[in-house]
Amino acid sequence: MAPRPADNRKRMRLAGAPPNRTGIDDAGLLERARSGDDSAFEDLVRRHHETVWRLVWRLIREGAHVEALVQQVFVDLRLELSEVQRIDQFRACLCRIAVERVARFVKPRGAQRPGTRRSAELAVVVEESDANREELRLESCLQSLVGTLRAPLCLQLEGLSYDEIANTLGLSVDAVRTRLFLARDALVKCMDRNKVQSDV
Amino acid sequence: MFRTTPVHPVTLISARVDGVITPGESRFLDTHLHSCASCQQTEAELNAICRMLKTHPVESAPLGAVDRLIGRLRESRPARPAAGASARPREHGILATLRRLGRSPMLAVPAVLILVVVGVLFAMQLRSAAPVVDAVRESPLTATTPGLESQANAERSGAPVGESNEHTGSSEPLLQSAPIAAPAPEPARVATPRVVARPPAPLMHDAGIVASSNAAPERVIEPQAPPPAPTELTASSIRFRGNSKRLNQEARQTIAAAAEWMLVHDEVQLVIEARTDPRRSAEKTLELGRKRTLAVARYLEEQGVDPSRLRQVAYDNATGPVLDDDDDRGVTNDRVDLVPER
Repeated sequence: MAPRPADNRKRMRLAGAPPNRTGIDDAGLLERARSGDDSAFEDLVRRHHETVWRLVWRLIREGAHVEALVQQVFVDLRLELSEVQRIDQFRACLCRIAVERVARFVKPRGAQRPGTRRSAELAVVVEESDANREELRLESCLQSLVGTLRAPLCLQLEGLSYDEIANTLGLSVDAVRTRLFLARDALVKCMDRNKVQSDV
Repeated sequence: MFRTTPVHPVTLISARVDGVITPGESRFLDTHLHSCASCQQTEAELNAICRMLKTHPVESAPLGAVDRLIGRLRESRPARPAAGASARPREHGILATLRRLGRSPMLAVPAVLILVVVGVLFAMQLRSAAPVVDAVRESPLTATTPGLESQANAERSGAPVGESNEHTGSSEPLLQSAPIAAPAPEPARVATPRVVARPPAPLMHDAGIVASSNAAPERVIEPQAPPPAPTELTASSIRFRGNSKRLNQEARQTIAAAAEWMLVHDEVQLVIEARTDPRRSAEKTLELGRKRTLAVARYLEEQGVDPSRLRQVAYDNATGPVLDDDDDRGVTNDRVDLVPER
């Protein structure tokens, strides 16, 4: 499976590589951070903070707890930094910690899974605004997506390749391909259902 | 004849949206899409949903969030042993393993449970080992009884009474009592404690007999129970083969033993009960049963049993047959039973 150039562009965007005021790429920063350079680690944090923020937000889809979770992700990352040898491992490690942190955050809440309550509130908004109807319907469907399908979809939307998603979630590439299809198919069906309900 | 259901390469459609598909897969997909309206619709839907997902708004990090994160990281910075060393070398050893376990509660709880179980098992092992030590101390060579203790104390100069029965302390009492009990000149005194220690009272008197003999000290005197009287008739079932009434060698031995038992117990009557396979007709069952009981009765008479003490019974299908529990083939009894009757 040969990745297309577009896929490489996504990797570059995820890597948070230049713009870079220090002129050092992620691999160099990682090497320095592993050797105990705190400023290098802080640079890595600044570069990847936005990616982790968006990923966590996509996973839990509510802003109240995102900042605490993102902080905890980077604290955990520093503890595991010695086990990260290469920069691609660094990205996978960062996303894996984020997915695990969110899973630990969501699981104890049980029935109050993020999005369940807000879907009803959003349904009211759908009636009020025709312009954002499709987006709100999609948001409602994304919130109702199960975690096993939501995680690969969110990682893909953040620009990770299939290989990186597989490494992050501990799956095979074929499993990632299947789950991405199932996630999109579930969204399509959910959108159709919501459309029929709103029409009725 | 096989009927194949059409397989729609939907995952390939999804992968082509992301551009992650080989040229061969792409050609195959194009060929399939050309003739499959369902997959064409799926491709259109997936493309639409992917376009929506790409443009779907995502909340970005607010201003100052990264600075707050950096501040928190500085506050929680771990102490480093030396500059230039590895940031966090992986530690080895028991303490490091316990520390790693402590970070993940899913591993720490089972680990603690395992430690508790191992500790309990170890304590139980120690407790079960203690009676073994006591049993060694109570061996015939070393143990003394209260009855003999006065004699032992008379020979022992200055040793306190009851010291040899103290098993909870160190091994000194054992070492002190061993030279007294072990000497060869008085083997009877060594052998007696085991007999005296037995619960039945009459065995107390056997000790005198043992003491007067020259038996070895290690010999254990077992009570000689009288031979059991042959009050019950055993092995009283006689088997037959097929429709035969012939007595085989085993049947003859059984009947001879029963005849011998009858001669000893002259007050007992013997009922010869014939049971046969119920798959035969009722008439044949009764006839065969009578023949077999007669054959057994004649052989008993030959062995000297008074025929007036014998009673022959042949059961029919309805009342007689009893399933043989030992026969797993499901065949019913085809036998003659000898039942004593007082």
